[in-house]
Amino acid sequence: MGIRFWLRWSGRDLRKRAAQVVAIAAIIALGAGIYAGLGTTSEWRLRSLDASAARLAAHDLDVALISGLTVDRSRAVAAVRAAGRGWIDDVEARLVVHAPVTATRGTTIIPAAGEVLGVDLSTGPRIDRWQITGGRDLARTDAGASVALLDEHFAHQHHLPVSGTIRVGTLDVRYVGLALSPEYLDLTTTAGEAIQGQATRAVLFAPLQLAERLAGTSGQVNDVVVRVTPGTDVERAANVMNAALARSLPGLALTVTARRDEPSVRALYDEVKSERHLFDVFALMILAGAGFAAFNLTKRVVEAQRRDIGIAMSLGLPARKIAIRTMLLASEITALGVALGILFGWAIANWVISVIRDSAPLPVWQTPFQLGLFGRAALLGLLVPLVASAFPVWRAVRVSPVDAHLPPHLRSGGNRLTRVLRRLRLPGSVSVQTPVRRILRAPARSILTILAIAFIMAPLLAALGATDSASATISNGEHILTGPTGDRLLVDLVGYQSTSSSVVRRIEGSPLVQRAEPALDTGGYLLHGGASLGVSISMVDLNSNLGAPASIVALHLKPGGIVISKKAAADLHTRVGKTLTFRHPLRVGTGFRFVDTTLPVSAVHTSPYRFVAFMDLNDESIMGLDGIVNAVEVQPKPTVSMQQLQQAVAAMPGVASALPASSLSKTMRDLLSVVGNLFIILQIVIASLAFLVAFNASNIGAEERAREHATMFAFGIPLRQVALMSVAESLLLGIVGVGLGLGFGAALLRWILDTIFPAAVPDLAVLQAITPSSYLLTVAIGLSAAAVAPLLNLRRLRAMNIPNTLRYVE
Amino acid sequence: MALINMRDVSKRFETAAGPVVALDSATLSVEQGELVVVLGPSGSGKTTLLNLIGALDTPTSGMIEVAGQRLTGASNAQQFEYRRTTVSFVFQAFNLFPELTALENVRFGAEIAGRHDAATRARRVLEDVGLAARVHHYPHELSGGEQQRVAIARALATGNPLVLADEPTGELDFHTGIQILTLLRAQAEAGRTVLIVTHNREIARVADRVVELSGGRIVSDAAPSQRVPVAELRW
Repeated sequence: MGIRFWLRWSGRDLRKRAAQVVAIAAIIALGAGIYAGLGTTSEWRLRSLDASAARLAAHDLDVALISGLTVDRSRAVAAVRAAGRGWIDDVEARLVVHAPVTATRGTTIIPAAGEVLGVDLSTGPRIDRWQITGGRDLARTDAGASVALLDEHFAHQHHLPVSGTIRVGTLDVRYVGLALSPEYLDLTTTAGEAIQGQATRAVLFAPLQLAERLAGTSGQVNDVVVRVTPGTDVERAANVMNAALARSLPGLALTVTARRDEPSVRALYDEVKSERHLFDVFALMILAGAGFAAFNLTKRVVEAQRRDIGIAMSLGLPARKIAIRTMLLASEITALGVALGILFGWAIANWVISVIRDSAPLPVWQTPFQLGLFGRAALLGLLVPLVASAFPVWRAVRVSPVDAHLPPHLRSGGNRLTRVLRRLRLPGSVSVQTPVRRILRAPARSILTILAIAFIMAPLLAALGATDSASATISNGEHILTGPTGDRLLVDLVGYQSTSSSVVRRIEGSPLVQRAEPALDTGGYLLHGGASLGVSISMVDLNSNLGAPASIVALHLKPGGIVISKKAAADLHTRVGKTLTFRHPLRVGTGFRFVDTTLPVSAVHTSPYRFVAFMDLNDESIMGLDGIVNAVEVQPKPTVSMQQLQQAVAAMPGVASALPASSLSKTMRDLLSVVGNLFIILQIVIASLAFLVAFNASNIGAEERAREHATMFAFGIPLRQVALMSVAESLLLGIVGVGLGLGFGAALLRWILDTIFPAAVPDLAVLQAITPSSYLLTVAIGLSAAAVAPLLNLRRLRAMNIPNTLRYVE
Repeated sequence: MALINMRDVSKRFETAAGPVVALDSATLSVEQGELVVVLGPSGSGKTTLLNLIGALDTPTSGMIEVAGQRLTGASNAQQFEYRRTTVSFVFQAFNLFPELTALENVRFGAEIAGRHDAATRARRVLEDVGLAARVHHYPHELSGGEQQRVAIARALATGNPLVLADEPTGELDFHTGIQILTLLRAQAEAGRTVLIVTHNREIARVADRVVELSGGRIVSDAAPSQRVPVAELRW
C-alpha cells in the first residue's frame, strides 16, 4: 500500500466529513488568523511611525520655553548651536502661538483650542516637515499672507474641506491645504496640560510672520527643534543642552526634551505596544479556545474511526501504518486550516489597519507581509490539531482489537468521574434527562467543549468590559470635573494677566456669564521617593465649587498644601499629611526658572485623571505670581448655551482658548470609539468561533447518535422533539461554557486593568466596570450560537433513512 | 376485525443498476392477539414488509391499514403519531440508549407513548422480563440477552397493541433466544399482536401463522404444520 492509496482513502474521509473538516479548519483559521492579523497591524503601525518620522525629518530634541515667554530668534539659535557644538546637524526656530480657533462647516460652528506653528518659509521647514494630504503646500511667496495649512486630524474629525477660512483669535486665516506633521501625529497629550484631542485641538502650520502677528511680537521665538548627527546619544545630548542653556539663557524657564520622551510621542508608541500586548492576550485566548475545540473535535473524528482501526489491527496491520490514514486526515485538515488562517489573518490585518488609517492617519504607511508572525501563527495552527489527532490515535492503536471493534456506547470504559456522574439521579422525564445524560456520559468531552466556549467568550467580555471600564472612568471623571454646577467653560488667557486685567474683567462682566473665577493653570512635576510625574496644577479657590471638585470644597481646606489624585498618590507612594516635592516655574524678573518646593498633600481627589492637581489661588506666591492668573473658569447663565458662551468668550481679545470642561471627556470618548470599532472584529470572530464549536460538536454528536435518533423516530418521537434534545444539550454546554467564560472574562479584564492599562495610559485610573449590556451581548452571542448550531443538522435528521440506520449491526 | 390489513402492497427502490422490487403485490391480514412469523431468506423482502407495517417506510403502491389507521398517504405527523400510539419495535441490534439505564430506557418508551404511570409501569415490565435486579444498569453493563429483554420491555411498556420484532434472536445464543421468544409468545397470549421477522425456520414453530416470502412475494401464509411450546424449540 503506497502513499497514493492512503491519500485516496483519507481523501474519501475528507469528503465524507466535509462539513466537520471545514468547520475544524475554520476554527483553526480563525484562531491562527486573529493572532497573525492583529499582531501584524501593531507591527505595521510601529514601522509606519518610524518611517513617517524618518521621511519628514522629525526633530530629535525640542527646546521649548515656558508658556508666555519668547526669546530673540537669532539668540536662541546661536545658544542652541553653541550648546550642541559637535553633534548638532540642524537647528530650526519656530514661534508657537495658542489662540482660540473657530471653524465653520455650512451653518455649523466648530470652536477649538488652536495652536499656530510659525515657521520661516524662506529656509524651512527643514525639521518636522509636513506632508500635504489635500490642497496645496505653502510657498515662499505666502510668507506675508494670512495663509496656513490645517492639520489633517482636525479637518478629518469635522469633515472640513481641503481649503477654506478659519478664524484664529480675531484674525481670519485662509488654509490652503491639509497636512500631517511627525510632531503632531498624536494630538492627545496629558502631561502638564489638559487633554486635547483631534476634535478640540486645531493645529495650523503657518508662515512665521502670521504667528508673529497673532502673538504681537517680531523676531521672537519660543521653540527650537534640533536634529543631531547620527550616532549621538540623544538622552545625554538633552541633558548637556539643558545644562548649557541654563547658563547661556539665564532667567528663561525652558525644557529640553528628547523626542522619544515627549508625552505625545511616547503615547503613540506606548499605545501601539500596549495594544499589541492586549491583542496578543485576546488572540492567544481565542487560539486556546480554538485549540480546545480543534482538539476535542479532531479527537472525536478519530474516535469515529476506531472500529476501522480495530479491523486493521485484526488484519495484522502494524500500528504505525494504521495511524497513517488518521494522521493524514488531520494533516489535511491542518493544512486547510492554516491556509485559510493566513488568508483570514491578512484580511483582518488589512481591515484593522483601514480603521486605524481612518482614525489616526500617518504620513507614511508601511504594510509588508509579516512572514515571522504568520509563520508563528501557522506553526501554532499546525501543532494544535496534529497533537489533537496524535493523542487519540496513539490511544486507539494501543487497545486490543476486540475492544477497538466495539462501538463507543458498548465500551465499558470510563474513569471514576464518568461512573460517578452516571449514577446521578436526575429529576424530570427521561426526555428531559436525556440531554443532561449525554453530557454526563462523556465528561472529558463535555469539559473540553465547555472550556473551548469559555476561552472563546472570555476575551469578548474582557474587550467589552475594557470599553465599559474606560467609559465609566470617563463619566466618573466628567462628573467630578464638571461638579455640581454642571459644565463650565475653561478659558485660557494669552500669557499671564493681572486678576484685575481688562480681559478678566471683560469675561466677568459678560451678560452671558453667571459666575467667573480667575485661576492659574500651570504644568509641573511631583517628585517623591525617586518617582516623578507630570501634573497640571489648577490654582483656584478651593472653597468654591466652580473651580474645585465638590468633595474638596467640603473639606474646607486652607492654603499651603496640594490636592492630588488618588492615582498620583498611589504612584508616588504618598498620602494625605505627607510631603512631596513640587517642581514648578518661578517668576524671576521677566522670565521663569524651575524650582523645587516641598508641600504637604492636603487632600486626595477621586478624579481618574492622575495629572489633575489643585492648589489654592492664594498659594500663587510660591511661583512669584501674586495676583497673576492665566485662566478663568466660567459658568454660563441658565438661559445661555455652552456654545454661545464659548463663541462669545473666544472672540474676546486676550483669550487663547475657551473649551468646556466636558471636552476632556469628549476627547477620551473619541479615542474610545476607535477602540470600539476594533472590538467589532473580535465580536464577529468570537461569534463565528462559538457557532463553529457548537456546530461541530452537534454535527459529530448527530453522527454518533444516528442510531439513537433513528430509534426515537421508530418510537414516534417527532423530529422537533429530537432536535429539541440536541438544542437542549448544546444549550446546556453553552450555558456552562458561557458562564465560565464570564468568570474568565472578568478575571482577564481585572488582569488587563492591573497590568496593561497602567502601562498604556498611566495618567488614567481606570475603574473596572462591565455593563449589563456587555454581559447580555456575551451571553446572547454564546447561547444563540449554541442554540442555532444543532438546527443545522435538521436536514440530515429529516433525510435519515430510518430502517437502514436501525439495521446497522455493530 | 383484523388489526393489520395490507392489500397489493409493493415497494420498489431505484438503484443505479435499475429498479429493485423489494416487495411485490403483498396482501396480508393479521388478527389481534396473533403471533405471526415472517420467514424468508436474505433479500426476500421481510424487513421491508415490517418497515411498511411500522410506518418506517412508505409503499410505492397498495394499501396498508393498521388498527383502523390508513398508513398509505398518511402525513409525516400522522406516521409519528401512529408509531407513538400503535406500534412498538424490537430490533436485532437492540438499539438501546447508551446514556440511559435499563429502567430509564423502558420508562422512555412508556413516556413517549403518553403513559402517565411510566415509572411504575417500566419497573413492573422489567420485573416481568426478569430484570428486576438490573434496572439501574447501563446497556454496556448487560449481556446481549439482557439488552434484548430491556428492548422488549421498552416495547411492552408502551402498551401499544402491535409489537414488531426484527430478528429479535439474531444476536443471541439458543437459551437467551428461548427466553426472548417466551416473552413474545406471552404478549400474544395477553392479546397483543406480535409480528416476528426471522430467517430461522425453527422459530416459526411457535407462531400462530407463518408467512413466507421469496423474491418480494408472499409465497405461503398458513398455520405451522405443528405448533409447539417455546420450550420445545431446538436450533
